Order: sequence, then C-alpha cells, then structure tokens
Amino acid sequence: MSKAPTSSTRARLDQFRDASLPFVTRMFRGNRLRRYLAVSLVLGLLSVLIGAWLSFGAGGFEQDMRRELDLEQSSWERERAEFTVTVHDGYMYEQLTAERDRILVAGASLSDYSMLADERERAYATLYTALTMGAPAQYAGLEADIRTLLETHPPTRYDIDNAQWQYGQEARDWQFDWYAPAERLRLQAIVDQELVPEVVFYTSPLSFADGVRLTGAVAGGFVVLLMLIVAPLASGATVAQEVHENTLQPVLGTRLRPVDIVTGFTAAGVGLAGVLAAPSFLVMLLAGVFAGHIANLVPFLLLLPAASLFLVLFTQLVGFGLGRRWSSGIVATLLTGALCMLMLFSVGIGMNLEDDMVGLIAMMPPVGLVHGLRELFVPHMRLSAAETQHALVIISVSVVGLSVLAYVMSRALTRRIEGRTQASITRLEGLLAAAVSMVLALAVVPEFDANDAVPAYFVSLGLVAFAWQLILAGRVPVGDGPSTLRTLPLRGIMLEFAAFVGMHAGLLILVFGPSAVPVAPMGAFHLLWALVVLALLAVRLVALPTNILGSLFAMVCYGAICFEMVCAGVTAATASDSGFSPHPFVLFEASAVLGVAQLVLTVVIPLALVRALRKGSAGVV
Amino acid sequence: MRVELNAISKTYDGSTFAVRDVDLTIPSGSILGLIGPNGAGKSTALRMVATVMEPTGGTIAYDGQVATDAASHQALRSQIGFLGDGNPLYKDMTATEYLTFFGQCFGLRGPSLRTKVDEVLATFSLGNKANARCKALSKGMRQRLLVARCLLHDPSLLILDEPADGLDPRGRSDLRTIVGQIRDRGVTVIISSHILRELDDLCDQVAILQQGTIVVSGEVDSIIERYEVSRLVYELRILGGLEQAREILSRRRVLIESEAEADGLTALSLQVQGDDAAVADMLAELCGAGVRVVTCSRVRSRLEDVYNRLSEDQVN
Repeated sequence: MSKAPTSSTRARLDQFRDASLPFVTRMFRGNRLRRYLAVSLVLGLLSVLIGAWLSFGAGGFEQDMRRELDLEQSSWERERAEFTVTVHDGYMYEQLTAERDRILVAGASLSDYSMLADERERAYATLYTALTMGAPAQYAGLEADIRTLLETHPPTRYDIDNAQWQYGQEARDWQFDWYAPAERLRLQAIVDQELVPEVVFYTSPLSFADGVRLTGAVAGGFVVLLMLIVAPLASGATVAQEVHENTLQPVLGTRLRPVDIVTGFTAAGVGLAGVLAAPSFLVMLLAGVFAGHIANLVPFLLLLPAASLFLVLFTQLVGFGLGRRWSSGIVATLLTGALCMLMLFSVGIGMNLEDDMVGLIAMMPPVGLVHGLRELFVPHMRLSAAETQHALVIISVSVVGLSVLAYVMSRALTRRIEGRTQASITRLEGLLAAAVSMVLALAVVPEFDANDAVPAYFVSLGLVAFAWQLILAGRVPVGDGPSTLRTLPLRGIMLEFAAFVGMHAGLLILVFGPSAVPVAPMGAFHLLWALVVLALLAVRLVALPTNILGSLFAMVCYGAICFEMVCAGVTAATASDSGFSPHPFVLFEASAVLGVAQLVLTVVIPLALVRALRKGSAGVV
Repeated sequence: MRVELNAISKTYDGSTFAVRDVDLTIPSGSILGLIGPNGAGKSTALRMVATVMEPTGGTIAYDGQVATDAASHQALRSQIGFLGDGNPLYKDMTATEYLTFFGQCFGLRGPSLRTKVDEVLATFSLGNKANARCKALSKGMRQRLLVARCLLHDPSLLILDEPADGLDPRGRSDLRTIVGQIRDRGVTVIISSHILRELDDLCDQVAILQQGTIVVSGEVDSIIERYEVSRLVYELRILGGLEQAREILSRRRVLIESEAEADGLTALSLQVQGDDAAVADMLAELCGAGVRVVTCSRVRSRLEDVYNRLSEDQVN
C-alpha cells in the first residue's frame, strides 16, 4: 500500500507548483505550447526516420555509420572472406551478373578491366600465397583442392611455370595465416566458386531488432541534446534577459520568494526541453525496453536529470553574472558555443570510451550519457568487465555530486536574486561543494598506484582549482551596497580554503599512504604560494570592482599561479632524485634579471592583493 | 494599512546618502504624495517601503509590525502593489499574458485570475488592447498596464513611483480618478511625482524630499497654512477695460505679477489672496464694471508655491 504524502511534502509540492506555474505558463503562452508540441512530434518522427534510414539504408554514408558503430563488417572484409564483389548500383549489378553468367554458362573469358577480373587476380594471389607459405598438416585437404583448382583453372596473367613465383613475389608483403579462420574461409570460398567471384547487390545486414536499437539510440541522442543544450540555454538566456532589462525587479515585488523565482526559471527551461523531448524519450524508452540492454537504462535515466539540472543552474548563474553587462543575445551565443563544444567533446569521448578514460565521466557528465546511450543500444564491448563496473560507480558518484552542486548553485542564485548584502553560499555549503568537486576530480585519476601519487595530486588539484575558486567567490559578501561599506571576512575564507586543501591532501595520503608524500620543502613553498594567491585572487575579483588594469593584474597572477604550480610539481616529482636540485627561484637558472623578477613578483603579488582588499573594503577581519 | 517610517536611511557608496533619517507616518486609507526633484531619493524610499530594498538604517512598520526577515517581507508583499521607477515590460507578451503572469506571481488562479485580469483591463481602458503585444502599445498604454498590474491582487498598500510618466492629460485625469477610487476602498496609497499639479488635489498628505531628507511633511492644508501660501495664481485674459481692471484689482489687493499682449488680448498674471470665493467675487466685479473678461484660469497650485518657497529647484 502506498503511503499518503505527508503534509510537509504536500506543502512543498504546492510551493513548487506555485513557483513554477507563472514561468511555465509564460514559456508556453499563446500558441507556443502547440508549436512546441508540433516540433516535438516532428523530432520524435525524425528519430524514427533517421533510425530506420541508418539501419536499413544501402547508401555509402549509412554503411559507414554502421561500420563506425561496429554494427557490420566493412565491405572489403566481407568481399575478401566470402569472395564476392559488392555493388551499390543497379546498372553495375546487372552488368557484372551478366558477365559472371557468360563465364559460368558460356565459358567466356573475363575482360582485363572487369571488377571480376581484379577480384580473380586477388584470388590467385591468395591461393599462391597460401601455397607458398605451406599448409599445416590438418589443412592438407584444402591445400590439395587448391592445387587441383589451379591445374584446372590456370592463371592467364602469368605463365604457369612462373605464376607461383610471380604471385609469391606479391605475397611477400601480404603474408598468409593458415590458422586464421577468416583466411581459410576465403580459400574455401575461392575453391567452391572456382575462381569466379559472386556478385552481391549491397543491402544492410541489420535485423529489425538492430533497427529498433539504432532508432532508440538516435531518439536518445535527441533527448540528451535537448536536456543538456536546450534546457540550460533557455534558462540561462531567460535569466540574462531578466537581469539585463531589469524585469526581475517587479517579479521580486510579488508574493514569490527568490527561491521560487529560481525554481520557476529552472522549471520553465526544463519544461521546454521536456516537452520537446517527450516523444523522442518515449521512442528511446520503448526501444530500450524491447530491444536494448535494459540494465544500462537505469544509470542513464539517473544521470540525465542530474546533469541537466546541474547545467541549467550553472547557466542561470552565468546568465545572472553576465546579463548585467551583456544582452541576452550575446549571453545565449556564448552559452550555445560552450554547450555545443562540451557536447562535441563528450560525443567524441563517450562513443569510444577506453578503460583509462572512464573517470572523465565525473568531470564531463555528458560523456557518461553518451557512453550510457551506447551501452544501452549498441555496446562496443571495449571496456573490460571491471571498467564497466567502474563506470557504473562513477556514474553513481556523479549523480550524487551533480545533485549536490546543483543544490548549492540554486542557493547561491537565490541569494544573488534576493540582492541583500551577504555571501552567496554558507560555510557549510562551501565545504560540501568543495568536497564533492574534490571527489569528482579524484575520480578522473585512472589508477591509484603509489608511484603516481604526485601526478595524481597535481592533476586532481588542477582540475578542482577552478571549482574551488568559484566556491571561494561565493563566500565573499556582496550586495547592492558599495564594497567600501563591507567588511571582508578574509581570515575565515582563507581558513576555509585551507580546509579544502587539507581535505584533498588528506584523502590522497589516505589512498596512497604517507610514504608516497615527497620530502620537498621548496615544492611545498611553491605550492603554498600558488594556493594562497589563488584564494586571494578569487576574493579580490568578487569583492572589489575591476578595471582594465585590475584585469591585467589578474591575468599576471593566473600566469604566476600556473608557473608556481608547475615548479611545485617538478620539485615534488624529482624530490627522490638526489642528483637534481632546482634553484628555489628557477628563473635564476635562465638569467639573473628573470630570477630577480620572479623573486619580486613572489613578494609583490600577495602583498598587492591583500593591500587592495584592505583599501577597497571597510576592513579585513 | 498604516505605514510608519522611522529614521530610514540608505547609502549606496558609504559616504553620500540617497535617503537619510526619513520619518513619516502614513495613516491607513490615505494618499501620501512624495514630492521632490529627480534624484531626491523618492524611488529609493519607495523601494524600501515596498520591501524590495534593504534600508541601511532605520525601520519600517506596517500596521505596527516591523518586518525583519525575508519571510515577513514575503508575507507583506501579498498586500503591497508596487510600481517601481522605469518599470520595463516583457515586450513580447500581450497585455493579457503580462497580467496573467503577474496574477500568478501573486497566487491568483483559474477563473478568479481571468476575472481579475478582465476587470483591470476594463478599469484602465485596455480592453481593446488585451491581445496586443506590449511592444505595440503606446507609452501611455504601457504605463496604464504597469499600474493595472499593481492592482491585480487587491493590495492594501499601493506604491506608485512616477505613475503619470508618459500619460496624456486625459490619462493623468483618469489616473487621479482611479487612485481616488482606490483610496475610497480603504487602500493606503503612496504616490511620487516631480509634477506637483498631479498631486495637488489628490493627496491627503505630502512629503517634500530634497537630497534624501524630508524638508516638510504633513496634511496639504496645514502645510499651505504653515507656509502662508493663502494665495492663488491666475491668468486673466481680457479684450478691453484694462484701466478699470487695474483699479478694481488694486482695490481688492490683488497683485499683478505681469502683463502681456497675446493674440490681441491682454493677459494678466494675478496673485489672489484668499480662496475660490474671493476669485468669484473679483470676477463678478470686473464683469460688472464693464471689463471684457475672456478667460480666467489657475496657473499655479499652492503646493508649487510651497515648494518654490522651500527650494530653488524649479519643478515643472
């Protein structure tokens, strides 16, 4: 018996409905809903048509696509194994069939320029190559059949006494493997067909079930594109437009809370993509249930909403930030470019996911979706069983991680829309987001071998640094007032950042063991400097207004951070090498001037950042 | 709803105040006119009253209750209709869609929402533009639509920041009538303008804001009395009898501010001490003495006189 929803659940559902209704109604106002439904039906129909075309089309493009998806052998392999000539053209088929009939029935000789003649020459080469290599004892019968065939059908191109030598000459590059079943199959086909290749008119070898699977994959592709591009784009562009045209202010004066407004934006974007994707989703679901590898449907269905929600909220934050300065058109163009690039990379990686790339799913959720879709409909079996399990674990971690990050972003956006002077995220939310991003970054590391501790640390640190900067930026109090009125809790923010760094290092020590930690004091100094400047820079960019000079200084800081990170990495990696000890300020090794510049920048950059924060705010505590 | 502002302040840059130590009490069911030149801090003050902006200092009490947290602000917003300064519209929405969106934002649903939308469209004479896109509406119509939006949820406090911006004389007159009707329903109205004649006959109370501070506030009549502005300024246009007119006006202690010739008529700008009855008596005497009076019209309100006395700013 199903349990009745509690009053608080019902209240939450009511709140969600009240918050979503105005924005969803606005999204589907007038005859827009009808138009979107028509587009969604067209997309659903298109997925079926494209699926059927790719499955059963006899054209070269469709054949190549099926080949790329490992759904059929290449024509060359098929022709070679079955001793056939495959043609796509009806006229050519008639010509070659007539020629073959003339040979078989009337005993006519082959034209020198015929495709059949070419294939027969290749057959002679195969036969003589096989004889040259010498058959193992168990295939002596087949070898005898070949000799008989060559006696009854001697080659015309070379003199019979020289034929073996001539074809053998060509065979030097080819080799022949008597133990390869496909090669023996070819020999048998040549013998059976007495050196006259069969003419085959090309048709797709896929079955109806294959067709259903491919249709499901196409429909699933549409669903992924709509949920990961259209939904985030619609939400982000709407927020940018509201901010840019200041239409959010009247909405803030209504009964809706800022959190309701964020819910509304999210529901409208996801609702639009949902309506557009509904028929395609149905096609995918039916195809998955009837012909797909159904076990793979569950991770796909869990990851899809989490990834979509994450991107929807991320683009809303981007739209809110950029919308103040740029119009929604510019923001939408930027978002479209970024999302399309993400999808392009994801399709490229996800379609051919190798064992050591499985961890990328954690940092690029669309990779997991493309991979999931492939595993659901056309598994390529490239992953080992262990890596398949690994991928499932990472997808599960990603679902939880993305959901947590989406929640934190929704809280940040709510506080920004509210407009009061406060930090965008709380300390707890910051810690949660930092921990999640750290776990997702560590998931990318392919192997936790003790020898790889240093690279694993720096790779994961590099991946998570951007996320940590965003989190620190969210911890800086901002609002409608000027920065000079706000006191900056810099000490607290830096301590929180130290906690992030400590958590990351602690977890890696736990995984690799304390013995994997290199003894490299100078490396630690470089690392500490880079991390401190990274944190100060994140605070500086959000807390104070930035002009062109400030932006240039920030770029210099980023360059210095990257340089110091590399120095730290190299120093740590070579710590055990007693013969190698780089200069603490490595640019001294290139020139004294550069060395002094490095030394000066090392001192000046953090001091300048702290000074700017002190000067631009009401105080630093 | 009774609204009390206690030492409300707002600063954007930490040094200069957009609004400073504003104390005001607005009785329930009255209309307060907030007067001041552009940049005086009217919009900032109204945003704070509408709970969409946080004051830097001071408190605002609504029916005696001070809203301190987000939840209480949220509850208050169901009772407040707020038309902000320079309120933009969703240009691609029709008037009905726009009102429906905001009706839903205020929690209205189904038939009651449709009825309310139709009602405000009719009230603001926008019925024939119900399905026109906002970008196709004239500026006056857009302004009417914005005001209409504020009344969808029957607020008990209506805050209108420069509502007559873009309205033609007929529109302004209609707005005054509508605001009067709203007040009659017991709704408290706060209305700002830098055009004093808009507020002259409409407001029960006025507050004059200059450089973020209230320079004078109270009931209109008491302010006029306090600043000894018991005169009315009229323009009298006559066709003949100028000498007789001068003599009568001098005897009745009417000050002639200026004399000019226009369209073959003599135009006299007069300061009349007293009320409308004094003007009627003066006109009767002029006509009785053979002065050929063509028109007599009021050219300046008493509020403008008060304002001019308080400030060097020339308002409208």
